[in-house]
Amino acid sequence: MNSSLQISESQCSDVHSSSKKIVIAINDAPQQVPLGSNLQSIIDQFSLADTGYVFAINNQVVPRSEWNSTMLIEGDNISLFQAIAGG
Amino acid sequence: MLKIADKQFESRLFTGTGKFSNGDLMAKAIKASCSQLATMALKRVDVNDQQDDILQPLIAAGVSLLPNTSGAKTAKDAIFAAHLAREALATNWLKLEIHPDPKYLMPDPIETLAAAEQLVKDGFVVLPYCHADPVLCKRLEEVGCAAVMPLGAPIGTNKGVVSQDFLEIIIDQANVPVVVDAGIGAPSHAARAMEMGADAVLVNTAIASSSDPVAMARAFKMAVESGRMAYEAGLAGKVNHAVASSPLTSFLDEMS
Repeated sequence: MNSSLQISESQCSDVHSSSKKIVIAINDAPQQVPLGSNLQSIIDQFSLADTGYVFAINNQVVPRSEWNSTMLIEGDNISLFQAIAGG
Repeated sequence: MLKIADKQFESRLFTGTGKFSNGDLMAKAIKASCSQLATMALKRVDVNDQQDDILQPLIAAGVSLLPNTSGAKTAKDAIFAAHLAREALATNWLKLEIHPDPKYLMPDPIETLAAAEQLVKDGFVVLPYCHADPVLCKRLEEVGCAAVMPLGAPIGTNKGVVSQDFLEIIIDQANVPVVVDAGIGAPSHAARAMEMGADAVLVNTAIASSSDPVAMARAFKMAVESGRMAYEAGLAGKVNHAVASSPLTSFLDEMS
């Protein structure tokens, strides 16, 4: 699954305007996102807060600095975690 | 003043953020406690069912965050959770907790020591939750943990400092701060731990599950301050026979 993620910003500009959707999985739950989405787009699309969230792919943490450049393609399964109350 | 790693704390009361009925009450209670360090957990997000944002009120109150590795059953799980937490909350502070058994939530000493050693190498400020085991606490200190957090009693039981005899040995031997975590159910328990010389206590359930968490938070604040003050003042020693507080005069005998 990791190999399907492409770390490239070059393809963003011409696909963002597209209304075409792809299906990915966030924590195993299917979600539709626009073609050309990256990890930062997920934060924006679901109106998540700027802090307290973190992505992982294949049990590897994705640093925040790479969210914009981590592009999503059909069939990707990403993990998304949130800081919550706990003891 | 308490110092752990590079941080100084005026308050010796650390708090958990779990079990409060809502985020607003949690924020008010933590503010009332004057705590400067509060634990948080991580969970997988359901993007269609989002939780209250409890982060902003804590940050606004100036509280430092101590993410935990709750849910980890192995050292491998905990190391992954630690790296997630560091990225999510932009802090390298970590409450390391590994408990494979959901019934008693007993910390696994072997996995905890292994994870602590790796996480220290990875640059974390590791505060491990562990048994009140003097040998284990020494080993955790030796691998570079910034403090140790032995339990007073099983998590959430509110039974108090039932591990007292072992905590006393841990406190006596430690070269890092000792934070009594888990089991403290009443302000008097917290005061007892502080009188024994614990450097701090971590309280969650006893505040969050009380009838009035804000008032209880204040009560814990006072108890921790009182216990610490008593420790610093030096408790009078115990003896097994009566020693009069008033001079024993003989004038009453002379009246008869």
